[in-house]
Formats: sequence, C-alpha cells, structure tokens
Amino acid sequence: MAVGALVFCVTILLRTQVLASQDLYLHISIGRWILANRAVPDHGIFSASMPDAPWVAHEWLSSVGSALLYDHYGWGGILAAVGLLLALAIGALTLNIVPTLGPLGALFAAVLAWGLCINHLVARPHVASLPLLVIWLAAHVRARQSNAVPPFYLAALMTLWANLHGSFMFGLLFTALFAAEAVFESATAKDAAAAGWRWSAFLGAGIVAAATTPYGLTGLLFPLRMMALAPALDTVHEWQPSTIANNAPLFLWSALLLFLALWQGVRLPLFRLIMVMLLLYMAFAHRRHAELLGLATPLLVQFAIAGLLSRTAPGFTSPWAALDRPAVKRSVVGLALLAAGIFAFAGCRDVVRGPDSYTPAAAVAAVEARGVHGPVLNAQNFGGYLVFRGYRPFIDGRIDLYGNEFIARYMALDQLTALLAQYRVAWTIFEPANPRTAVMDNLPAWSRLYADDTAVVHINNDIEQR
Amino acid sequence: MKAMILAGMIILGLTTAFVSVSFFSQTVMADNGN
Repeated sequence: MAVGALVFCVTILLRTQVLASQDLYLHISIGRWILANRAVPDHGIFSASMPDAPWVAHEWLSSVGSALLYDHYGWGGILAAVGLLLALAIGALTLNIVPTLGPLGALFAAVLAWGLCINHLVARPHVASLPLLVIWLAAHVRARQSNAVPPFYLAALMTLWANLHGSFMFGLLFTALFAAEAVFESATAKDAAAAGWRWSAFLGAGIVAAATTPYGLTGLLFPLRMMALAPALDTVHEWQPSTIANNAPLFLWSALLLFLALWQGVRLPLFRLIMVMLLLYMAFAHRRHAELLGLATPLLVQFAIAGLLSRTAPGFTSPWAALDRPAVKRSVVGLALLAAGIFAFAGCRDVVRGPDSYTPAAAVAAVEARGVHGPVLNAQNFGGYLVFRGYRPFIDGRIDLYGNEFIARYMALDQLTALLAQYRVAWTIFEPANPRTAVMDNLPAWSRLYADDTAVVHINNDIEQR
Repeated sequence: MKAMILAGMIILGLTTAFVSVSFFSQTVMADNGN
C-alpha cells in the first residue's frame, strides 16, 4: 500500500511527461466517436488520406476510458488514472513478492520494476495492461507452485485485457509457456498428460476470453498482424531497439541481475530461464518492452532467489519485527493514503496540458485566424492534436491504419512535392527541425504563415488566391 | 568478508546508478518520430 501510494504520488509529479502524447489526443477523439455512435469503428475514421481503409480500434475500451475521464475530469483525471494504474501494478508486485523474499526483497523488486516502467510512462493504453500483467503472471506462478492451473475465473481478466491493449498476447504466450513447464516438469507420463489437459483447457478458456471483443477473431489476431508492420514500426521511437543512450536503465538492470546471479550462483528451472531470456530479448529488441521484463522477472524468479537466500542469508526474508506490529502497519497505511489523497487533490486539479511537442496549439490558432481551408499535410506527431481539434490529418499515430507502403512514401523526402500535388494540399504543418520544413521554405508556390518552437505552418499561395 | 564488502559496494553502486538514470535523467519514449 505504501509502495503503491509512493508510485502514485511520483506519477502525479511527472505530469508533463505522462500527458505528453499525441496518441492520447487520438484516443480521446476515438472514445468520443464510439460513445456518440454507440459502435466501434471498422474504417479509418478521422483520416483524410485513408478514410475508407479497414481499421479496428483494438484498444477501444482504453479510448472510451480516456474520453470519459477527460470529458468529466480534464487532464487531471487522466493523470490520476495513470498514477493509480501504475501504483496498482507495482503495489500488486510488491504484495506478491513479500511472502517469498521479505519486505527488503520486495522493495528491491519494486524499485527495479518501477525504474524499467518509468521511461515509458505515458498516458496510453499500455499502462492499463500493467496491473493485469502482474495479476495474470502472479496467478500462474502461484498455480505452478501448488502444481495446479490458475482459477478459471482469471480468464475473465483476459477479456478485459484484450479490450484494453494488444499486449494480451503476451499473457497468452506466457500461459502456453507455463503449460509447457507443467508438462516438462511432470514426473511421469501420466502426470504430464494430466497437466497437459488441464493447462490446455485453461489456455483454451484464455483464448476464448481474448476473442470476446467487438472484433472477435480479427481482434485476437491483431497483435500478429502488427508484426507484419515491422518496417513502419521502425520509425516509432518506442519500437526501436534498446541502446545504452536511449534505455540506460535496462543495461544497468541487466548488469545488476547478472552480477547477483553470477556472484551467488542462481539456478532457475529451465522453463523459467527460457521465459526470462525471452523477456530480455524483447526488451533489447524493442525498448518499450523493458517494462514487461521489469514487472515479470521478479515474479518468475522469486522462488529460486528465496531458495538461494535461505542457504546464504537465512535472516534476509524474515519480516522485520518492528514493522510487523498492527499499530505500525495501520499508521503506515494511513500516512500513505493521506499522502496519496493530498497529491490527488492538489496535483490533479485544474491540470493544464502543454505546451509540449505534440500540441501545436498556437500554429492551429493561426491557421484558424487566417481562415485556411482544405487538406493538410502534417507531421505524424501532430496527427493526434489535429484530430482532437476537428481536422482530418493526412497521417497520425495509427501505424496499423496506414501500413508499410503509405508510411514509406510519406517518409521519403523526394515524395513530398508529389504528395502535395496528389492530395491537393492547402497547408502543411511540421516541426521546425523536420527536414520537410526546409523543403517547404524553398518551394515557390508556398509561404510561411506561422512559426514557433513547436510547429511551422506553410500555406499554398495558389489556393489562398482563389 | 572482504569479498562481501566489495560485492555489497558494487550492488549498491549499480542500484544507485539504476535509480539515478531511470528516475532523474529520463529519456522518455516519444510516441512517434520522423
């Protein structure tokens, strides 16, 4: 509880980072569309270039949640929800680790997990999946410990997860790995067959639960379709590989774990080792996945570490007697709740977003003041804000809508003039450092309408004269 | 004993470095970039 409250309070303090997202604008707009139409979209709503292309809002529940929170409580509501969700994830992790590794071990696990989450702490649907991931994996680890399968009602969690975020596929992947572990570690062929049946039944329930979305099978297979979009995803920062410059915490986390493991000789059961290796690969291949590594690893290795500690440092996991008294516990929980309440009240009221690099508010105001109409060619990072303001952008953050070919053409600088002509573009909006801004400055039929540190707007002189 | 102290210092150092880079010098992941 105290750890959760601390996480909540720090998240509130990080408001500029948490709210700086262009996709958040898009999610609020999509959520409003779903609420207004009482249906989920099946085509490229809001897009000027691909309005009729097939597209599924696979994170529709997160979008609806964002829209409801924003429309009722403003940016503060979104900020509080992100704080609460991360607090739930880290709090649930701590609660799960305390019985095996004691308070100090749980605190260590919480700090390591939190540190890997914080660089990707942006108000987007993945945050909603973090507590679900912890609860899902913790139930699997506990079930394996007592040689059983997770309770079937847990599958309902998968329905919620699949409607919130595409990472539900990792949940199913881990169920399959735990099933393989159960079969592999069975003593006899008969036990292996029984474990195989039980785990297959649970996996089947999980798959059915994950397909229980408005999009059915299409939604279930969506994460697999995303893999085919790898070339387009390479243009997105969070999908790029981890390097020491862009993801230093991951390298230090790995160094720390390697040091501890090699120094003390931690031995993991084979399938747990495979799971950790898989998570490590995912975190290094795509920097956004570091959070999965941080949250899942303590749950997966806790019993191996506990076994080692009981041999090398028997006093480490025993609870601290001074902290174990009910009066002390009550005081800590009371203080934690009080602090979280104060932060929620003071930090989430009247939150004003921006200015940030996704919010070209002054530039759009200049376009409105000049009365510019017609199609826009925009920086991808401004797509969300344009939708939020009622414009139809040329491109936005929906990689899955636009696809590899379209994004490759958009990214190619030598295609810029061809796109301007083909889509009869009336105005453009790009970041000052975007190379397209320099190209626009040198095009004879175009002139600058507005420029600031966030955005530069060019208008087509020919269209203006009409 | 010497080994324990040295290992303890290394673990403390790595943990401090981890906390400082993740909490105090963040390289936040942008939505998109091009």
